Amino acid sequence: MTNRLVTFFKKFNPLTQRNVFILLSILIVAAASLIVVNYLTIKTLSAVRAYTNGESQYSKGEKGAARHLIMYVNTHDETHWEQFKQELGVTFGDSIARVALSQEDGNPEVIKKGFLQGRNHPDDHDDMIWLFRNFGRISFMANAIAIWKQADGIIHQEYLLAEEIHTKIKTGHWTRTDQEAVISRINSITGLLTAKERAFSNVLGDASRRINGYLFVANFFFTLIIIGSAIGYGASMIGKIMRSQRELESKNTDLTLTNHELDNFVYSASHDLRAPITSLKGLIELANLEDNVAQIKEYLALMQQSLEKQDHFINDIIDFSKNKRVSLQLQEVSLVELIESALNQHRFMLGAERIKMHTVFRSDKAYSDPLRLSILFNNLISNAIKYSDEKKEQSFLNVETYATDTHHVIIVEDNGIGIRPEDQKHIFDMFFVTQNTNKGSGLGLYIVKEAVDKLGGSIAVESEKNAGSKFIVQIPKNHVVSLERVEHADHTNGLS
Amino acid sequence: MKQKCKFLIVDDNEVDQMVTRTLLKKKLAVEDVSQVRTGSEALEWLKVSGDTIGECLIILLDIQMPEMDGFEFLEAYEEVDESVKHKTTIIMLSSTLDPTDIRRATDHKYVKSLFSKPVPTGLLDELMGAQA
Repeated sequence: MTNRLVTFFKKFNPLTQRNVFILLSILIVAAASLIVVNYLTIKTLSAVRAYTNGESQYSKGEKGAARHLIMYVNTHDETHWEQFKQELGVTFGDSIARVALSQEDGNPEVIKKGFLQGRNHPDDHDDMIWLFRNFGRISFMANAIAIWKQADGIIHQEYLLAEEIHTKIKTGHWTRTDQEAVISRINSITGLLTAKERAFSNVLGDASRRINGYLFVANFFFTLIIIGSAIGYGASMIGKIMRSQRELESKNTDLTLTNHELDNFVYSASHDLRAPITSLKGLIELANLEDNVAQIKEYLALMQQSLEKQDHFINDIIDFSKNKRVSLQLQEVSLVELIESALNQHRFMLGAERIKMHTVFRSDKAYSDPLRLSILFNNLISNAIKYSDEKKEQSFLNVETYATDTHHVIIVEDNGIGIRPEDQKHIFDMFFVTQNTNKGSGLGLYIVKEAVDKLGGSIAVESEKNAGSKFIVQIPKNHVVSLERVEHADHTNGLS
Repeated sequence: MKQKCKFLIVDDNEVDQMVTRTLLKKKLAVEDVSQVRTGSEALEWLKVSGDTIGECLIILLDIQMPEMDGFEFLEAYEEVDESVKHKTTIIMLSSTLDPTDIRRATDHKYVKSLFSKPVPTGLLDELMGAQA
């Protein structure tokens, strides 16, 4: 597909469900209108043709009547008189139908009988009635009817004249002068009628040509609408398909990325799980080569150190998984209790004995998740002990809590080895470990950050190399606000 | 056997450093062993001690290290002086299971071989014997 076509279809993207519905409605209405218009036009044209045909019969009847009347005048033969009446009857039939049609409640039987007498084909009667009734007041038909009425009036005069002639001939009052006068009158009447008949068929002919024109325009117009809507609808559908295809591709990319991250995690985690085992294997090999018990004991101590490291790592992984999988359980919690319990848990950790711990609690009760808070405190406190500075005369660990209008603030501060400025922006990254120690799994602070995110809070660090570190955690008092952020954090995280 | 070869251990794990050093000493009687903790320290060591290498140098290179990892070191190693590179053999020593890492290591032009920790002294000896 060319680029231009793609751009074209993209323009249709904003078409909403509602717009598509409107487009479809237009399409259906246009198609229905086209059918109705064509049906009505064909019916109208058929009726117009029937009237034109009727005019022709009317005209023939009148001409025939006039011819027989002249023959009668010339021959006084009664058969011509009868034939005159019969021929004139054709026009009477049409006249009866017209009069009945002009009445609101004109009897259809009478109308049809009239039309039949006017030598109109029975199949045409319904269309003729329909046209008269529905278009009788519209210019072309009103015109035609007026002309028809005038013609009927002239026919009536002709009949009156004929009756007069008939009476005169029957009673023997017929004279030579009468004869000439009558023939001239009959001719003039016929001339008048011919003019009316021509006018009538001209009006109808004009009308049918005009209707043809309208029909063409209407057909053209509706067909354009139909094609336009169909193209619009089709383009919107193609746009939709293309859009969902793009969405699918982007989802696939996301999924591939997630899988990739998961692979990376598994390999990184397995490496960190395996590293202490390989150290252990090396130490065992060394111990096997050694006879000196003191040396072997040294190896055993190192073995223990490796195993403790592995144990830590496994704990971190468990915390990581819990933090990921266990849903938030918000309840009233005591920050003091949670912090005291975390401090107690670490009281016997290697190096803890030389650290002076100090707490200041100015905020206690919070509405939050105890699991995340425990993970948070345990990690921050164990880091403070792990990275304490042995060179310093007195190591300390201060934990302080206080409340602002919206948040609980927890500060964990130490005078440990500190974090270099360039490392500070990476310490919350997964598997990031700093150069100068070999004690971390690279998970602790990552889990802390995740936990804080889940709680809808924030964490910041202030640290100086060799001086110490200060972690400032803020937990919202009203957790409801942060729920969406947690949702969002879940979505943007590859491993969730 | 290339007895005169010098060894450089590049590993951030102190226990593993000690294990490797002691195994080299006890199993292969290698005495001349230096050790550094990261890739950047290894580069620095090559710059400073490059002249003292003597006949040959074997680098035992870990993959996962902070600062500059094994592969980053290999990239930077490209710039190292030819006279030093000529005498140097690099062997990667890691506990990795990541197939990408394994492929990258075994395919690398500067990497002679990839060994899993703890250092397999038998294989190392064979390798050095084959080179001699």
